[in-house]
Amino acid sequence: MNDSVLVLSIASALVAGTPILLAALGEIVTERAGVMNLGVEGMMLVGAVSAFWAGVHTGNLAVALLVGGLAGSLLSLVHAVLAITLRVNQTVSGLSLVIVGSGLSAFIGNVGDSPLLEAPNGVDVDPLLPAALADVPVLGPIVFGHDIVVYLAFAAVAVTGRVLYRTTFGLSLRAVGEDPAAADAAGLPVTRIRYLATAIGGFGAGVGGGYLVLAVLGTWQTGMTAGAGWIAVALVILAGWRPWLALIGAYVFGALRGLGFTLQIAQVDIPSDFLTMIPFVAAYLVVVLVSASPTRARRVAAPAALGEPYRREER
Amino acid sequence: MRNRFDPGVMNTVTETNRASSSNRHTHRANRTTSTTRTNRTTRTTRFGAILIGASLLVAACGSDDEEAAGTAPAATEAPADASATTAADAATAPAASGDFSDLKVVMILDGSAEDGGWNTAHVKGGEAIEAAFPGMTIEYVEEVAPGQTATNAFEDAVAADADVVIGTTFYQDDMMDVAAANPDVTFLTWAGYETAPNVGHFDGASEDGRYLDGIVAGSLTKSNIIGYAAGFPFNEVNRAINAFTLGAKSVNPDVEVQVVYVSTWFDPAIEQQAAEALVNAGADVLAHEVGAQVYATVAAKAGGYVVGYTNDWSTIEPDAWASSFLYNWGPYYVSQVQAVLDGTWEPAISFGGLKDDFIDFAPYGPAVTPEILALVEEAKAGIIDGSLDIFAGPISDNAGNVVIAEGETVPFETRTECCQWLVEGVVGEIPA
Repeated sequence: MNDSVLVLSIASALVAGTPILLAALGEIVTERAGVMNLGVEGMMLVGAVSAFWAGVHTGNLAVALLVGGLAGSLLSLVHAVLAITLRVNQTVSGLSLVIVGSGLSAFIGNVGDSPLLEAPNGVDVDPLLPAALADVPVLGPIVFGHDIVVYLAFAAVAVTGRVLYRTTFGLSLRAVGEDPAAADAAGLPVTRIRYLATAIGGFGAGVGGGYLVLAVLGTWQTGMTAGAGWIAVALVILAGWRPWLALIGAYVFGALRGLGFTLQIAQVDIPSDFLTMIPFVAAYLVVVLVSASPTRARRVAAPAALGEPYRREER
Repeated sequence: MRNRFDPGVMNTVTETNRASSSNRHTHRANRTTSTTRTNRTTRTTRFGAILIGASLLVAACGSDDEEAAGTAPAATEAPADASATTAADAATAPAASGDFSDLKVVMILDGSAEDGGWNTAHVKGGEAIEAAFPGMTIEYVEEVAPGQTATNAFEDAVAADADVVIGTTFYQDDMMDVAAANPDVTFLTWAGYETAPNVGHFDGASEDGRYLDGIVAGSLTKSNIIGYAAGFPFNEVNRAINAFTLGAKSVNPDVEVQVVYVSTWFDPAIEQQAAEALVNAGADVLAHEVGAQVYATVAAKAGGYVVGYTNDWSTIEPDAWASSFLYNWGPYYVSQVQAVLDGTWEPAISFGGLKDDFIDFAPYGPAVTPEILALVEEAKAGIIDGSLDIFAGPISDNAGNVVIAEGETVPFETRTECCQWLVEGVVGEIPA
């Protein structure tokens, strides 16, 4: 029963959705603080190449993912300086981050006598739980058969949701994203919180890229995210800036993409392009719904000050 | 392998962002001048703009680190270090002597020179030219998508005094005007259909190599299901699938080749899911004609084997690695440049296979036994001496229609017009 295409497909979908989920989760934190960082794709690439490099040299998954996350954070700080301190247009700054990230990662992947491009994966990513559990019918492969990162991503969703909605820090962060002037008047360090949120976003993207290269793909190739970062950005909108909805969105997205091939093999004539299109159409629908209905808008709308630089003495 | 015909491929972020760095430089220059000219811009915005400009420069340096200075087009790059294989390639080239310091070749690539497949094969051909004509100059322009970018790249190449310009993808529509305006320069592009007095084209018969790869895959499979991920249903792609399947069936009549079309030339995350879907459907050997390396890692994880497409993944997954044909452009390039130097060059569309030395093979993996190799060598000899015709009828498609009747074949000269059908033994359909 565990060999059935359905069970295997669902299990694959969770793995395929995890890198996007991690990146989207980070971006949710960033955007909740009012900073729009469109450079997710660039941060994922730099995180991925750094994690792959660390994996080749240490062979340790935790170290590799940490290095990937920190590399993503480091790159996101470029955006933070530009967008928060210098108040540059955040769209332009975010886009330039994508260019920087893809160029930088291509360069890092290709230097030296034995470039990462030709290197085998240095990290073994094994299932976390004992094999006996993975043999449980149906639930085994889907729930118990994954590596640790899949479970950690799940936990990260819970933690992010809890912190955002149930802690003082989360309240402060959201206040900064909704009305920085009021937050400032209440004594919150707006700039510091926005820097922190941007760095957390970079960390999420970096770990997401790291997981993609180490566990899902297993090899580094130039430009290997091929748009995953943009999917994460779309997912943030689709999820209405809510962690749990992002989790569902990421898994559904992974499932739909895999379903295209499963259906092709089963000779069901639905173009795979159509299935991969669904999440993007859904994101559009959310945007349309939000602008069409004020009551719904309050529940899934973007943070009010998203993308707007804060200037203390300006009114 | 990517970008060949499909304009939609330009959508991927990397491709768009990594447009030729000459564009990037112009962009940066424009930005700086416009900010200094406008007095109203605030100090912070101006500073920010400069910072962005600086970060763009970092990006530009990222990929164009060894940029040629001076009059050379901004996007040209010094080639990667000539490797040991160059010497081997060059050994087959005619020995030339003399001073070739006036000779300059510019090669325009549709992707990264280090993509480990399509473009790397062309760069090896370029290294063969370099070895055959000591003292000559060769420059590579990377990541040039067909379209206006390509036209600019060809113009830049002419402006840099190139004698021969080589384009590695379908640039036919982008370079004919440039060629007409520069009759002294010789142009060679991949898969063009229209020649001119100074324009020739070339293409390799991948099906020759694919048939032999099929023999390896058909011998290795235990489940008798081979997974095959393809990009788009072009003639060349379908022809390769058919040749591969015919090769596999020639040694294992029970084999099925399960095909999926992934609708991209390069998207590792999507290709990973395609590869997993194939493994989930029972495939224990994976073959492909798309850009990612995930077929190797997915096959290895499943304990199966992988057959590359103009790749050598023997270092990435040594145990799962089976085989791959490679394009061998060196001898062709060297002969063309030699003809240009001798003044004997004639425009032609050169379509070459095994017998023309256009096809080579990567090192075989450990699972490929001497018995399998003997089958491969036998078929190879047959194709070269003409006793084995891959497409000799009768051949039926996978819907049961006879597509090539008894006694007929697809002649080598018209093979590029084949195929919009999938041969018996392929499980899958050509998408509408």
